[in-house]
Amino acid sequence: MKKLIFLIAPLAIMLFSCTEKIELDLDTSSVRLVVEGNLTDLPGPHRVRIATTAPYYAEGLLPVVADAEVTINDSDTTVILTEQEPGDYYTPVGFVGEPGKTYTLEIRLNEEIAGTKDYTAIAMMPLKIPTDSCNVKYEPDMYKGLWQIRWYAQDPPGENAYLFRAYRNGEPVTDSLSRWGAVDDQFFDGNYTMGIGVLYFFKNRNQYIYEGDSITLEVCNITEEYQHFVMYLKEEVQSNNPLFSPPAANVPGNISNGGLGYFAVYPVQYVRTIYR
Amino acid sequence: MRRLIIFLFFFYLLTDMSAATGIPVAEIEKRFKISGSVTDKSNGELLTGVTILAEEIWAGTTTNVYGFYSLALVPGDYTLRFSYIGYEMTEVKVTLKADQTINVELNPKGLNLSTVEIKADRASEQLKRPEMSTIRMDVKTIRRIPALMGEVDIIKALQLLPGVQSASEGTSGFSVRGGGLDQNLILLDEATVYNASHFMGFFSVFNNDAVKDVQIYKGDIPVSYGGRLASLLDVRMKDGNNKKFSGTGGIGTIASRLTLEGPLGSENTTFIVSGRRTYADIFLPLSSDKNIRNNTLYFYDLNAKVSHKIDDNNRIFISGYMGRDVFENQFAYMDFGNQTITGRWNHLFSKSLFNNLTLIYSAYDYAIGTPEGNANSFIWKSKMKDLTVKSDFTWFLNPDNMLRFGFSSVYHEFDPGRARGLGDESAFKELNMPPAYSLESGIYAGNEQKIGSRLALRYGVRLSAFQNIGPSTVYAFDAGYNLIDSIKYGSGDFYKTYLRLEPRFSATYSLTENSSVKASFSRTAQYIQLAQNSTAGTPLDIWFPVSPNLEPQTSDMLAAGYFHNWNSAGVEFSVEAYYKRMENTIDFCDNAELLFNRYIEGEVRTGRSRAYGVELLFRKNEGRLTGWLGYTFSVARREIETINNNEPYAAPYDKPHNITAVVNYELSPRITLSANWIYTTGAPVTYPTARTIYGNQVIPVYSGRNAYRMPDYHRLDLSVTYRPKPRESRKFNYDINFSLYNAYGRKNAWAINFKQEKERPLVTYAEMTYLFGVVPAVTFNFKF
Repeated sequence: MKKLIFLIAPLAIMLFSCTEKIELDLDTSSVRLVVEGNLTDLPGPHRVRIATTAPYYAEGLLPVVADAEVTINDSDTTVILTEQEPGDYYTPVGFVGEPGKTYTLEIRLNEEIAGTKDYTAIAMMPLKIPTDSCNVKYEPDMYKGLWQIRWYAQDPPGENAYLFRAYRNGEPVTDSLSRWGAVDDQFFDGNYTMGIGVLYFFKNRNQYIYEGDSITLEVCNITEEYQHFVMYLKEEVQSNNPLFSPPAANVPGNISNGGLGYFAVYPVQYVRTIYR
Repeated sequence: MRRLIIFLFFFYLLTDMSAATGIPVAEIEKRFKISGSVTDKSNGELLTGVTILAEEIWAGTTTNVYGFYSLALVPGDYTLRFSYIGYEMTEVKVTLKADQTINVELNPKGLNLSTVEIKADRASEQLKRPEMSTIRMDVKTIRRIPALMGEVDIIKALQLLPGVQSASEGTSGFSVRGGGLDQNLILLDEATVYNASHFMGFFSVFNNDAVKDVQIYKGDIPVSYGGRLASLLDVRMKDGNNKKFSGTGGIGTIASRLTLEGPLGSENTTFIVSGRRTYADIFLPLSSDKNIRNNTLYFYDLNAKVSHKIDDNNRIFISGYMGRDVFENQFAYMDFGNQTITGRWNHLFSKSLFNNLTLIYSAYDYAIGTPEGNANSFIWKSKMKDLTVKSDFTWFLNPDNMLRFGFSSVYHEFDPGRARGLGDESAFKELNMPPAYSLESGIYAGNEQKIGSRLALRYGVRLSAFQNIGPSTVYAFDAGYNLIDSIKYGSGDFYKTYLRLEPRFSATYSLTENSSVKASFSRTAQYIQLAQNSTAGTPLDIWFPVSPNLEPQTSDMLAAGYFHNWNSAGVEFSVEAYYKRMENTIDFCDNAELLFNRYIEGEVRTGRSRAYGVELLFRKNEGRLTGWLGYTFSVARREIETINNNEPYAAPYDKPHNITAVVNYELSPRITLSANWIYTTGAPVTYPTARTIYGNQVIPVYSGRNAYRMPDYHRLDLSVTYRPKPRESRKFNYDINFSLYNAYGRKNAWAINFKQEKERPLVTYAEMTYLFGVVPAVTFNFKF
């Protein structure tokens, strides 16, 4: 819903505003741990990436954190993740998350970062809500032309949240967070979704969908906390302005001891359509 | 105990007044009253703040906002001198033997520049008044200031005064002495205007053709007003010309205006109707861009007022305002606006007891939505409204004491949001946020007292009360702001009452005929606030009241100043210093959800804040060269729990240095040149100090809130006004104004963003957005 405000911020801004690159000196703050971990109900292997923050203008990937002991456990079993690339830790093949179960990620570092070696994250895997289908609709008048991916599912009563990603002819097209879709059901709780738009492809950003393309929509049933995390991160990387933007702020995830990032656990499903 | 002492002190002063003035009680009985109203001779408009001076005893008074004055004098012969800025001085000789009504009409000064005026009385009277931190501006002055797109704007003009800052480039949101945008009480004919902005803030809702005068109180707010911490902006609409039917209007670059006014039947009844509408949308179809062509985008304002003078003792006014912004394209729709209706009855209980009874309806609402026929189709509405009854008495006891007392009561209704799907295809359900009801009341009494020839005091107290009324559900939160419980209250249940005592005091001591020192203390309380965490705000921001979870904000301000006039040159100088301490200041947690959140109180964080500063102002009101030069040094800091790790941080409008220069020069009777220049320190901002990567996206990591500053802001605006040589016989007068906003094309940063390069996404850079280059505009104004 917030998104809509941005769509409306009229004209006034679009008509007059100009942008220009500027030089700004920035300070550097102390290093913090960054975790990006996912566990789904698919066979995997599932990756947990461990790194540290870098100066803002650092060009390149984050410094990785190698040689950590990483485990994931539910109430019954514990699996050990193996480091296949420096900083990338994988679950054993065949380890699948189960909806309704709670998982704990435990990280023990070789050396202290931000004063501690131990970081944990606890996440619950929400239940799977079946998605019926999706289709693609071209809207020639919106933003100089866009393709809307529309989603059909019955939302059960109660709080639910969804994460969407898409693949075109098998290639990921929503390959970075700013293009993911993350919604909660506040405005359609308990309703049939009737094809609400969940992802957008903009013509003027060269995000074309051609006739005959196969579009796969990935639907993840996520927790409300993770939905907030993704939504706020998307806001942080969007252009800000004095009218709509709140003060810039860090987005807390579920990593303990001031770690950044998220250990997200969710069931995944895919629906496919051919764009005509 | 402390409250009791203040009360006793206050009533002691009231009862002991005659002793304090040194006049034996017996003699008071012998006084007679001269009272009446002062109007503009050309159009019958009631004039506010006219100085009336009985020359023989050097005692006087000023007219109130309804143009009324009253002087109680011992019998004798007097020469009453009526003086007012921009008007010729008028003297009336009186032999006082009984109560008398003297209505005076003042002649506006012509364009004859050679006339030398006597300004001493007016200027020195202002110096002696126990009133500070306030500036009155007449619309004539405001009209001369070069404006964005030529659209003369009261609020933009006020933003050029020391102590008043613009919230961000081009916006009509303003901050007074470090206060928030919602800490300004904006009144149009006594009715609260909840959103004074059009077009995302680029224009304000006040159509200058309909406005008589404007006064801003940056502190030392009169006891008759309450409800906001920082300032009072009192905008008064014209009453309407009672001499002849006349019109004013203009054709501007983005909007046109037309005002019609005149007598209705007799000169005792007048009307004024004023309208303004933008017509940018008329040109949209000409755009080559189809997306712009299909847009609707306009705003309008409609002001209307009828006043009727029943007799010398009774006068009624009914006025209304309605304005709306509409924006629509093929997939989104938004409109918003204010509506106010004010009914007032001025009644004289005696020649010295003036009463004004006011009834007000004020509302603000918005709607936002998408067109029908889609799964995403929805409409979302929000509305708030006020019903107010208010009674204000002014008792002109004697030339040394003027008492004010009265009460006000406002019934607030907040409907923060109602959303529902539109049409059968929509997936959206109906979702309504619970409305909130409350009653905000105040009683007050105060006195303006002269003690001897040098000292004048103004003191008073306001007792304000705020009551939450059911039906309502109040949520309880634990120390970590997690929802733990809820309590339901029934309809009509007054489930929470706050009382605040707001003492206000100011004193003036005249050092010489041309200089004085002033000091003031004022406490203010605020019970409703805006859920807004962006700098400039949007029309969608909602107001919400205090509650059992949230205590009212209070502010204590101490101010002192030195005032000096050079009467021969028509120059006024003032320097004021202030220190403000505020309790229960609110801010919002990081990533706060302010819309459609029934647990919004869980997003609020409270703490304390303080602001201090020094404001210097040189102002020249008369002569061919007029204008002012202002400098402000100010600091505004907040310390709010959980925000910025509980460390103090700069308030969003903390801009330490501010310089404004406003110059107006009458080159000839036909040509006027105007310029203004503004410089401010860049606004506080939060920048990243590190990066992470999540989801293949570089994510900024921030350290302290508002730890950095945007680049400094400066801008020059120019305008030239041409009018044909004035002639008495001319019925139709016009002028043409050419203006240049941002004349030297300074690229002032409106927003700073950190971006990833397109080709090399891991490389990041800073980018600034600026709104305006040089903006030229032409406006044609006419009058008949």
